[in-house]
Amino acid sequence: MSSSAPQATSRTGVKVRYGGLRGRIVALLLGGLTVLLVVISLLAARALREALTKEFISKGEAIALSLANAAEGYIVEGRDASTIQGFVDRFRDIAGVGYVFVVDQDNFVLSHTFQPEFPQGLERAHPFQGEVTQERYTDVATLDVAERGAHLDIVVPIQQRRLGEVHVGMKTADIQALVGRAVGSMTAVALVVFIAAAAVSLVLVGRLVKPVRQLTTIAQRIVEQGDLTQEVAVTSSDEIGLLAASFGALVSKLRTIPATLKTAVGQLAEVVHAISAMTEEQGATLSQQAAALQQTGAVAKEIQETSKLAATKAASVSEVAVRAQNIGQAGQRSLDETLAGLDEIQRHVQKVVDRSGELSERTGQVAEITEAVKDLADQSKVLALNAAIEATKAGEHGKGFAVVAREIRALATQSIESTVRVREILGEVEGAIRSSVESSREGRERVRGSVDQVRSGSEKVRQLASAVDESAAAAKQIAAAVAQQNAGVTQIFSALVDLNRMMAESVKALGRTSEASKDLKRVANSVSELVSSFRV
Amino acid sequence: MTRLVLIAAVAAAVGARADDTDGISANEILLGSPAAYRGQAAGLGTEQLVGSLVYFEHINRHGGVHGRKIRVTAYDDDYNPKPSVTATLRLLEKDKVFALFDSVGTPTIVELLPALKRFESAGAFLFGNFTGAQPQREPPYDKIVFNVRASYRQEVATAVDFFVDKLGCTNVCGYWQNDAYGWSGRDGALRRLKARGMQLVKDTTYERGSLFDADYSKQVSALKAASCSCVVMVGAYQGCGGMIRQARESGWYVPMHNVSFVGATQMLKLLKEHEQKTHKVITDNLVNTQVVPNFTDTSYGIVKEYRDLRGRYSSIPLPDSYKECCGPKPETWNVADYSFGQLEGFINAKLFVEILQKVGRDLSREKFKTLAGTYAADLGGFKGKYGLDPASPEKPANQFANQVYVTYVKPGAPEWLTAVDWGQVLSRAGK
Repeated sequence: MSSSAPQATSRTGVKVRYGGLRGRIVALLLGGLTVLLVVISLLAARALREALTKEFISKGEAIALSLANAAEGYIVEGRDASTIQGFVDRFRDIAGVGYVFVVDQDNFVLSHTFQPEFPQGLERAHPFQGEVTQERYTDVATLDVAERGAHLDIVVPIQQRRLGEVHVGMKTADIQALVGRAVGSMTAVALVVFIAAAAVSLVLVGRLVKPVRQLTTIAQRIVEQGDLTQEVAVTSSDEIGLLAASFGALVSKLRTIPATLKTAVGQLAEVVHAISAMTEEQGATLSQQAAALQQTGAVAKEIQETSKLAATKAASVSEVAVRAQNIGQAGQRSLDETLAGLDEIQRHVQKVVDRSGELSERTGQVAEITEAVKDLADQSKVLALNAAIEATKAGEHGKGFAVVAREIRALATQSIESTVRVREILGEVEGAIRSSVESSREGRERVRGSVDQVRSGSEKVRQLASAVDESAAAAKQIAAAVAQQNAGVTQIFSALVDLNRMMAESVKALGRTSEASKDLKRVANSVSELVSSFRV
Repeated sequence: MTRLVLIAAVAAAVGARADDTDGISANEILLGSPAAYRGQAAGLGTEQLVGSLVYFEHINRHGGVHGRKIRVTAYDDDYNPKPSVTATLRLLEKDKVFALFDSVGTPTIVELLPALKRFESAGAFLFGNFTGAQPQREPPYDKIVFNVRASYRQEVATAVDFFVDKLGCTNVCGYWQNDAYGWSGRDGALRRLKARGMQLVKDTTYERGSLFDADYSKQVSALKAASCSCVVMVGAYQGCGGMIRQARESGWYVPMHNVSFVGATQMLKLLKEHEQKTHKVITDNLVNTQVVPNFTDTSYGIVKEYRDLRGRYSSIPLPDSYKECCGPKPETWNVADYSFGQLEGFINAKLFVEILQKVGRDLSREKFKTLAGTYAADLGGFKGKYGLDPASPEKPANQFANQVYVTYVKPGAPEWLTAVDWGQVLSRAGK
């Protein structure tokens, strides 16, 4: 039945043969059922045939025994054959009975059910052989009766065969027919069962397989399109339902993985990036360090040389420092003397400044008087002008007056010119005073500056002295320190060698780290690619 | 007396037990007839019943028997054993008939007898039956059956003697209905042949109920092959008529015999119809033994009386019970005008009424049986006697008559003739 279904091929490349799981389960079920039904039918048919044969024989025996019992009396009494035939007639219509006949001791047929005639020789075909015993009082043989087929001939002797025999023929065809009918109805029932089973199993298995198909479709879409947005609907509560539920849980779990992965990959990329940057930096730093180290080596050597030199020089510095001490003390004394002289100069300069100030005030007062003169001259000039004008008006009478007014006006103008000359001279005096004040002020400042210089010089000399003292002490300490330094530098050297070796190893390790970080980057990239192929 | 009344009252109240006076009321005697009234054997039961009813009608119209009219309840048994028992029990237990009367057939009577035997203590008995079989003539049933007619054994013996002695038949063969009836005839033939030092050369059978038009070629061939020179046949008119038809059509004209039960009138009717259809004579060389005189032979007083009364009461109704089985118009008698069967029923009824009249008004089963046990009479030329007869040792004590009449069909004649000159019988035999 499933062979008619087209062979489906899933996109996963697996061929779904013979109608898929449903077809196979149904085919298996129906195949099993068919085998079961056939086997049961065959077994039942066999059992039935055996049972029926036994039953028929037993039935035939019962009839024959009963007939023999009845016939015995009739034969002994010499009664009419119709009495026996009456009995025979009662049994002829019983199911399975093919014939009944009674023979006498000479095998003459007393009664029979055959028509149109008694089959020739049948009365002698199956005689009861031997003695009748408690156990053996019937005998069965299969006889093929002309035109009637095979019969189970049951013979029962009447009065130990002294009066004859009763034969009852049971139709084996009837057994066959009964078995056939039973098998027929069994087959019919089996067919109905088969069809019902087919229909029911198709529906049930279909219902069973449907979720599996759905799961397959979902799985395929996840595989092909990375579609994790699909929902798994769980309908059944059996193992497949369980599977569907687990699958659903799996899908929703899967849904979280790409997100997590994405974050992780992002972080990883950052980390990788940081690592590679750091590695580069470290590389650079390391090479710098290496260079620096080499330089340090050179420098250290120089230091070694220099510190040796320093040791020699430190001794001479010590001597020079003592000499400088003495010179410093002498300088101090001369400086103190200079300072006292300078203070005297300062006082004199102050006096000059003060006198200059008084002079300046007097000059100011002269300037004011001059100003007042000038104003009078101006007013005189204006009056002279006005008198000239009036004199004009007075004509000849005023001629004399006009000459006076002109003289006055000339006098006023000379007065103004004199005041201007005075003011100029006053200005020059004031300027001279001011420059003199300025000079004395500068002198004062200069003296003050000199005092400060001398004072600071003195201070510096004093400091220098103490510095020289300190230098001397330091020189001694330097000498000791240089010796120590020498030993330290030697240690530094050996440390530097170690450091160099370690540096080389570090560089090598850094190289490996770099490679690893590149790998890591590649991995991160592919994971990132992978993650981006999922839809969540 | 008081006690008797009480007992009678109790018996009436219980009502179930058969009693010596069953079927007897103040003005009626009830008889029961279990027989074939329908189907292909319908003619057998109906013919006999009609013959009896004609006589009872005559008696009833003339005041009955000692003031009691005779009524018959008839149940169909389809000429089959089991319905026969059913009908018998119903008549005895429910209808409580005085006696069973006019049964039909051997396979039916062999089943009916044990049922009847159970009521022997109540005096129940069977009077008159349309069968010549042996069981009802032998113990243990010889005390509860009153046979009127001669037996098949006698009929067949007569036929064998007739074939051998009169027709010179050497190879006597048989053809039987395959049941107790057929075997009764076979038994008779075998006994007679044995007594004569002869053997049954070949016998064949046919299934009860076979029709006239059925195929009997196998039986014909078997007998022909055995070089039979005459055939004794014991069966019914359809099966035997069919056999005769087929034998004759195959060009086989040996003398063939039938017994009274065959229904000679019906058989002849079938054969004649066939002759008319085929324009071929098939009715010659047929012999039929009868146990009553030929119904055409009015030299017998009984025949004359039968024919008179049959004409007079041609439209008397059949019993109500007959309606149960046999059609919407039971009033219509689907029977011949006259027949051997009717005459036999008529004789049964006449003999029964005679004995009843002799018993008197004070009737009981026992009284009837006691009187009948030795009753002798001459019923218009049909003589007989109950009880053993040293002159004819073959006649059982419970059988009235002994006569067997040989009849034949004269070519062209419409009915059976009583043979006087044996030469008349043979038209083509031996030619």
